[in-house]
Amino acid sequence: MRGLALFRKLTLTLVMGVIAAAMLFPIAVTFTNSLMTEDEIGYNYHLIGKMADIGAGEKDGFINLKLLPDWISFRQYAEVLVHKPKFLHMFWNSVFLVVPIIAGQVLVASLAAYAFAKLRFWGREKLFVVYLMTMLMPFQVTLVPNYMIADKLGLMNSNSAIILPGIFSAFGVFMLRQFMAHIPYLYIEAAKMDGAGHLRIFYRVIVPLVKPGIAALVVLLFADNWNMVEQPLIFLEEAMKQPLSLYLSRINEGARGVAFAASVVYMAPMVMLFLYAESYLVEGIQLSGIKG
Amino acid sequence: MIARACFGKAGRLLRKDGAAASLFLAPSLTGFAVFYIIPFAMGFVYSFQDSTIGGSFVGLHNYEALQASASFRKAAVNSLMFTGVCVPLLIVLSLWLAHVLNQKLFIRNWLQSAFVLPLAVPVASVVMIWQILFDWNGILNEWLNSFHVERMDWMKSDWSIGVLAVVYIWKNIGYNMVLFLAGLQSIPKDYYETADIEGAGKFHKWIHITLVYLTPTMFFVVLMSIINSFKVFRETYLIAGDYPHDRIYMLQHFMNNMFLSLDIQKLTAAAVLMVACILLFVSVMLVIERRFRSFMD
Amino acid sequence: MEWKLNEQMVTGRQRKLRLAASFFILLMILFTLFSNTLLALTTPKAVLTVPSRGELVHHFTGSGIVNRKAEAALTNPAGWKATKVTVKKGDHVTKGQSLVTYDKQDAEQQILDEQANLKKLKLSNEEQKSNYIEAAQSGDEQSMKSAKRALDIGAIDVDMQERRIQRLQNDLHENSELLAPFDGVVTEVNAAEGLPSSGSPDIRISNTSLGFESEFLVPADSAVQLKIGDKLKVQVKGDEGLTVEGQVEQIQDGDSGLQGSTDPGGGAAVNVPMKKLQVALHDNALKGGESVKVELTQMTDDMILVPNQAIRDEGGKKYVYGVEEQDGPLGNTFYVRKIFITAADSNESVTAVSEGLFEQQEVILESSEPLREGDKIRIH
Repeated sequence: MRGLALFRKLTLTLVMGVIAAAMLFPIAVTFTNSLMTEDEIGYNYHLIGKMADIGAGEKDGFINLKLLPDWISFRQYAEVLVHKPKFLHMFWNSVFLVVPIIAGQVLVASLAAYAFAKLRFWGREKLFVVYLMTMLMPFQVTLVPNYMIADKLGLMNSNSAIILPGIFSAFGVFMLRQFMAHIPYLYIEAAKMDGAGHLRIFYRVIVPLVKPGIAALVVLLFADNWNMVEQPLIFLEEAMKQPLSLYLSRINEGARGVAFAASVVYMAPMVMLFLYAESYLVEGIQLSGIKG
Repeated sequence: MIARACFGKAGRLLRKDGAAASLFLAPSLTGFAVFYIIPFAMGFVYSFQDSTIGGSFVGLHNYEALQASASFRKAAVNSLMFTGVCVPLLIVLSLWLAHVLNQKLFIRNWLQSAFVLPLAVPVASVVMIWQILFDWNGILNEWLNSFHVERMDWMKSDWSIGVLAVVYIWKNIGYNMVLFLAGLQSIPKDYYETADIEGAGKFHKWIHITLVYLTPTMFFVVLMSIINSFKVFRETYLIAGDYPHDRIYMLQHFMNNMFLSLDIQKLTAAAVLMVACILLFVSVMLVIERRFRSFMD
Repeated sequence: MEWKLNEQMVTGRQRKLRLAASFFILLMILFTLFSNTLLALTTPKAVLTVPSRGELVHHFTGSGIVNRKAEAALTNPAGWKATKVTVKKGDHVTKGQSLVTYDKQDAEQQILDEQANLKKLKLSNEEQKSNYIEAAQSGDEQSMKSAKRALDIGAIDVDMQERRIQRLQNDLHENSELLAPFDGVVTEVNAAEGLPSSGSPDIRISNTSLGFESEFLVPADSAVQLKIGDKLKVQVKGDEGLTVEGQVEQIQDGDSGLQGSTDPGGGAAVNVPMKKLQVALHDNALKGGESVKVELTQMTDDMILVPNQAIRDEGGKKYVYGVEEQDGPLGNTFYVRKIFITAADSNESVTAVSEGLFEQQEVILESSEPLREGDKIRIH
């Protein structure tokens, strides 16, 4: 019986391992390929997007996907970090877009989430549904009016046109409300007994309790905004203001030789943040599972 | 301080605290109104007008024009199909994965990290890998070729939506799985023990205990999955550009292109229709959730 | 309860990640701050130029001095001391005008001496005559013959002496004064009062009626297209803006001269064959003696012109470094590409390229480091 259980465990682990490997495959390939020289990349991947002209006697080949580089070389990184000052410029563009959004949204959303989760007021449920709705709306739905408002507020071609809507997006409110809703009223009541006001309750009781939730929100917001494509495409006409996400999407067209290293540098902060906060992501949700 | 002044020493739990709520909500609500509510209201009004500036009311004309647009119908069907098929598929797969990972396994934490990691990978940085895989000369074709299957240009065929589904599931399965895993682990073990004693079958237990107690999680997961299914537009845009193959021409493409061609009327009308669908869906979700809640209590 | 557990988990992995993240951020900041410096260290900077289409113009300058066309150098052949110089440089003189008078005392003295000699000869002649008569009377045949011979020689001597005196008197008449041979302008005065004339002509005088001329030494290449009779613009140095027209009168082979000083690109000066141009100048503003120069321009056909600096040489094959631009979302990258060209012609600053380049194709003019094919460069 125990042998059977062990066998089952082993097989399941193996199956899961294979699936996990498949999931990690694109990331791993990106990383290993970032250590190739430009020449090797060019040689391996020159067939991307090409179709043989059969009439001209050409024959189709296959892309030569290589997992390991012939020579480990940091040329790509040198290229990206030293020879292309624009890359670093874009990198900081991304940082200066994402960090204010996250900081702003965590602050604004946690306050609002507290109101939705723990305060009773008229129209609470309906207002929350409105938040929920806008959270589901794709960016394009409010594209035109947003554009006009940004124009009216003089935000066009400035980071604020992206940061401000980012700060006030409904997602943070929704998510933190989910976490806060599960905090027992007992805690709040106890604090009130001690004579604490709402601000103090919020600051002293709620925030420490939803820390994992906030951490999870930060990760999700970072993942979302580090990736943004639509907003800068519309609101930032000036190429020098655009974030890395847009630029990386274009790097694939031309300079394929440095795309992998650029990608690795680009995903590094996100991956590090994720690995750092992963336990919060998981544990935070588990906390929310405790029924209040 | 203000809150204390308002509520005194012995604030009762269930009393109305509208004043405090308005203070807590004020920052969020202001911005939310300016950047979401007002724009949507404006969009709503525009959808019934013939021009954004000084336009006159034209009734449902814009909607009729939209209805007549083949590209809109195509986009709507594609979006609906994608969300309608991929979201349930994603949920089923992630639930399955959560179940498996909920058992005793070796290197469980590592596996879990591996599944969630794609969430942290920016779309733009793996676009090239997708190209390498699904290109005409790509790895998938090479692989199929060894089985003597004709090669095809995946992103330019009816299969493109499948490719998109793979990318979508790849990216989102991990987080959903973690959410489900958390949900599963929060179900008290004694419920199952009780059910065992009552001699309930595996399937019965799953429906009546697991699924029921997963409902709050499910609610969250479904919402997240839908949001993310709309966000797959990014991947599509990055892989295939402004005008992708017919099968992956989404509502967002349509709206984007309407915006670029300055056809604001069609755009706002499409937006209003989309929001109407979302409203319908959210209402249904809320009704279901409420019912399950009352059932659980 | 569970979140308290989390606090303790902030060890191990998280600490490492914190370290890694700080390192990463630091690295990014460092690269941001120093990437320009690093870039400057690792990639050469290049200055580009765009070749233009045009005619290649050869510029040559030749300088010379304006001279009167007909000029006479007047010298006192006797080398006498000048007693009086009546003209200065630049004076207009008319034909026959006295220019310099010379000290004729010596000559007169000489004439007197010679006349005294003549007298002496005549006296001795008298004596020989009486000797002859004596001999004839004595009838001595022998002595009579010798007396006759001495008498004849004496007569010849007297004739010679008379002719000499005559010549001296002529000389005296001619050399005592320097006269203008024609209407003209005094261009040079070397005679100085109280001094005998030195080797150089005492007076130089040019004929005003025939105009001026000048000689220029120019590279033979530039003169290829010149014919006798061609008109040239001649610039007068110093006198700003004065250009006079000249006409080529004569083209002769000249000494080969060194050219190269006008070539800003340096390089060894090369021996080039030169031509001597004689150009007639007609202009009343000229006075003679001015320094003048001619600029010769030689045009070639319409061709692509590249600055000489950009032209490089490899075993006799000429090439330029072009730039290949690779568009990238992160800014364009520039690579050096060697382009072989056929140089049709060149002057001191540009080279006309007949093959290999097209108009508006940028080429590298200069770079901060020596370049090689395929090198990455920064464009300044």
